[in-house]
Amino acid sequence: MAQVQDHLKVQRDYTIQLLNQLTAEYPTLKAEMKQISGQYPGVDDEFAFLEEFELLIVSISGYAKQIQATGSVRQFDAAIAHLQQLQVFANSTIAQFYRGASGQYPKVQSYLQLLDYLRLLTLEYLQMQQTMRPISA
Amino acid sequence: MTDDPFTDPYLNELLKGYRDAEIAELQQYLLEWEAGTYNNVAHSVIHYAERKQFDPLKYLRKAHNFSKKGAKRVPISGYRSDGSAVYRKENEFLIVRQDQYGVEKIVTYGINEE
Repeated sequence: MAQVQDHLKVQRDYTIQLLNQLTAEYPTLKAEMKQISGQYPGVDDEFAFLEEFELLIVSISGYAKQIQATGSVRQFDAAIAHLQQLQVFANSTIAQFYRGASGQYPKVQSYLQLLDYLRLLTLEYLQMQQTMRPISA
Repeated sequence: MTDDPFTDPYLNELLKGYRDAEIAELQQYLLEWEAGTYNNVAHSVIHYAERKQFDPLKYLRKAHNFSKKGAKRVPISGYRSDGSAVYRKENEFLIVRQDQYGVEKIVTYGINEE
């Protein structure tokens, strides 16, 4: 049990470190985002790339911020299911941008990779916690 | 997590350094937001302001002043399968979701050329 607790602590620290890195790096995307807003303005019936990007950032970061603040999340089981659904590259607008960008927007493309990694770290952390929860009768 | 300023550490942190009138204004804007995946609304606003390097009150004020009138809404009516919708106008957008009472609340606000 102590070994699992240690692993959980390391996972939490690593998650917080990546969250802080992404928060600090966000302003450096400004120039690329400005170009992207002109190139991918969004169509009538779909979210634009930057709108999907923003929604993914707040959705994933929110869970990581909860873990940073309290060590866990509200609505634990729903959070795990939601994080499983939030796969960054399963989002068609994001995937289309990433394929089309072909290295033109390296900072935003790298940010997307790290954001999906943050999602996976957060999910893994919660799943580790889940295995330690007592089984209810 | 409650939004009571006496017990909510996030709200206390958010309000720190503001004058009384600004606190009243800020608290009024917070009612327009939903917590999303954060602990509460104040927690989310602290992180948005940190990430976007904006003063929290200025950020909330800009979102509040975004006029839905004349904005393009996607989807035109209702919400996507994830419960969200976006209002888009010039270089700004407001992503919203309904709360448990069916009231449309702000999830996030962005400026495309920020």
